[in-house]
Amino acid sequence: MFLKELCEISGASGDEERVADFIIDKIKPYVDDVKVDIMGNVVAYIKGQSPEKKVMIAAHMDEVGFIISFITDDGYLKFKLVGGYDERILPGKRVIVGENKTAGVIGLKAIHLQNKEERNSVADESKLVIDIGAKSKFEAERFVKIGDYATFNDIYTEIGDERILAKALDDRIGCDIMVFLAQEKYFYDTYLCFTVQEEIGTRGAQIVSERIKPDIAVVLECTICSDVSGAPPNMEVTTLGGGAVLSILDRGSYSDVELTKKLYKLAEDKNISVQYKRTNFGGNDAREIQVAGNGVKTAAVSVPCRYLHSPAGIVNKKDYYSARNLVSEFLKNVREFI
Amino acid sequence: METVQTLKQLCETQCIYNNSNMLITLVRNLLKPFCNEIRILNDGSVFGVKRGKNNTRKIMVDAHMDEIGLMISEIDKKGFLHFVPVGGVDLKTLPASVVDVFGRENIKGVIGIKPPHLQNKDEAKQPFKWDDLTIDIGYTKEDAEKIVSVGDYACACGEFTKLSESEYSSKSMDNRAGMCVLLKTAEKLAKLNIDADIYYVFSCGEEFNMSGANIAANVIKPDICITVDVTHGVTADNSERAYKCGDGPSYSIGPNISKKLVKIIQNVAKDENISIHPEVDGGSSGTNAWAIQVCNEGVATAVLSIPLKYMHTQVETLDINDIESVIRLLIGFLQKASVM
Repeated sequence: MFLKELCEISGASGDEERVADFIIDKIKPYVDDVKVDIMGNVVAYIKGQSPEKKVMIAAHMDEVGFIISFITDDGYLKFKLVGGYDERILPGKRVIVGENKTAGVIGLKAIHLQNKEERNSVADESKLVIDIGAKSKFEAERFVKIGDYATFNDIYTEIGDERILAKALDDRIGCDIMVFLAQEKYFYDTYLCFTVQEEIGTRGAQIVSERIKPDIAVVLECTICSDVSGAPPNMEVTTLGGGAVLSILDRGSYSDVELTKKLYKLAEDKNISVQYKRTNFGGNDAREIQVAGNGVKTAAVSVPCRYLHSPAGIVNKKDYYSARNLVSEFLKNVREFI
Repeated sequence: METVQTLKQLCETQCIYNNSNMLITLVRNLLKPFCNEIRILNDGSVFGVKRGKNNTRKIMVDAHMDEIGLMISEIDKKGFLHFVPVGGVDLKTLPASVVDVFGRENIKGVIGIKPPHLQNKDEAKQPFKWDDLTIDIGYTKEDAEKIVSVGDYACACGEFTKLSESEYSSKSMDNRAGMCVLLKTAEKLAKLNIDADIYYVFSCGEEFNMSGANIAANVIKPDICITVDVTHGVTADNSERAYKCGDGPSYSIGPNISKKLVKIIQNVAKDENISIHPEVDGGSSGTNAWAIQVCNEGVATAVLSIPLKYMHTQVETLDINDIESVIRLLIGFLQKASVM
């Protein structure tokens, strides 16, 4: 498991190279070929016993983050968001900026200095800046430049009962599972696709699936888990510790019914914990993959994650292993699926 | 130990209101080599005294030891912890924060928020309320109750981080910065021979009601007290009532402050070539000096403050040179105030 190392790499949408390098280094000894395309998608090819069908497994390498848009005269960095997340989480967070991994903080005007209106409203996102401790633009430019990417910087740690707390679990979890899957051989030609720019509109998956035109695809993701305090059962979506998640439909795709049912049965047969995603929200690379070529039988297998798109997501290790085992069994028994 | 190391060690130890066991131990160990006696008061405040060669008078140097934080108010049926603030915590900094919970063991948790997918259109524009937020420690209610109890403290994590050059960011720089000044001053003064008895006081409860400083001053009965705290640093969105980090500390002026002591501070700054800036208040200086001034038969009070950006967040940021400036200024002040 390389999850800790993967989560700690900075790789916002459009800046995935370091994540790609790490992954390539780990899978190269096992797979038959690795290609990196023009956008940065990494595709590992595992030659099967039969070239009759093409199987695609996909996970995205990018995470939500920031891009530096301007440096003020006083050395503060203004930024734009990369990917969608709740802007109310920004004040008080630590970030890492650019190639030099410069430490920065997103501060907030002290509460003592806020007037009544400011105290009772959301912080104005356009006024937030990243502070890297520089006293002038000149000093700041020794370390960072406009166009540098930044990501949250928080610790990877284990908490509670078998849980992992980290940033970028979405979707380094999927990437880590695929690095594991790279170690085996399978019946059909298998393409492990580490995609880019999922968070800004599933962009990488678009070109990858067009090039490969698979017959069947499984997307490995992190998905909404809201079984938290105050959430009524019908808003929980998934349960932490409840097993690998099978999507039925979301905002961009619907999972192939037969494929999903078969995956569920496979899980039951192999004693793998499994649950359905109980909502129609969200979206992932399946949206693009499903419509590639003549259409692809697509399903999504996910790991429930609380607090997606924040510096501190929580997953349950058991669910990670359930998802990994399920997709592994799928690949080992792929002839029964197509 | 270097100033930065001392500051880091202090920031990494917690003390909310008077829950100060770990910090007391650290302060006592760091202070011991430089004092004749160390005392811990009933409320948890600590002080060390360095007796002067002529004990001309008693001078108290005060820095508050406590930081803002959270207190657990309920463990709900899903094992999530509800909480209330202790001191002026800004709610806006809490969503998506990692926190330390100080129960029977110290454990980590997350103050998570509802995913955007589940919010309706207008929700993202609404500020959170205290009731909206809970701490997720990853346990069921039954297991959570074995580790955490109602009344336990928690605080947002804010790892001590070096930013570029001389700026550092961490939680609880307010007021570990002040404490750092006291400890380094004690270290340097131990080698000099000063006339007055110097009392280094690390007081509890400032963020709440300044109770520790009150108690300490009543016990010690000093003639003079100088308080070291933090003040607001200039940020991208505010330059009013704030001071530039790295440009030297502020010193308070107003009814809460002794005019005589102000003159001493100004003279020392001039002699030592230290940049200082006046901070004017028509009433309370907003520090322990307000409580100390009226203890016993009165105390002559003064305040020195270190500029701090983003006060009361997990990323409070200062310039280490300002701490060094205050140390130099304080030593000069104590030498002069001993014999005035």
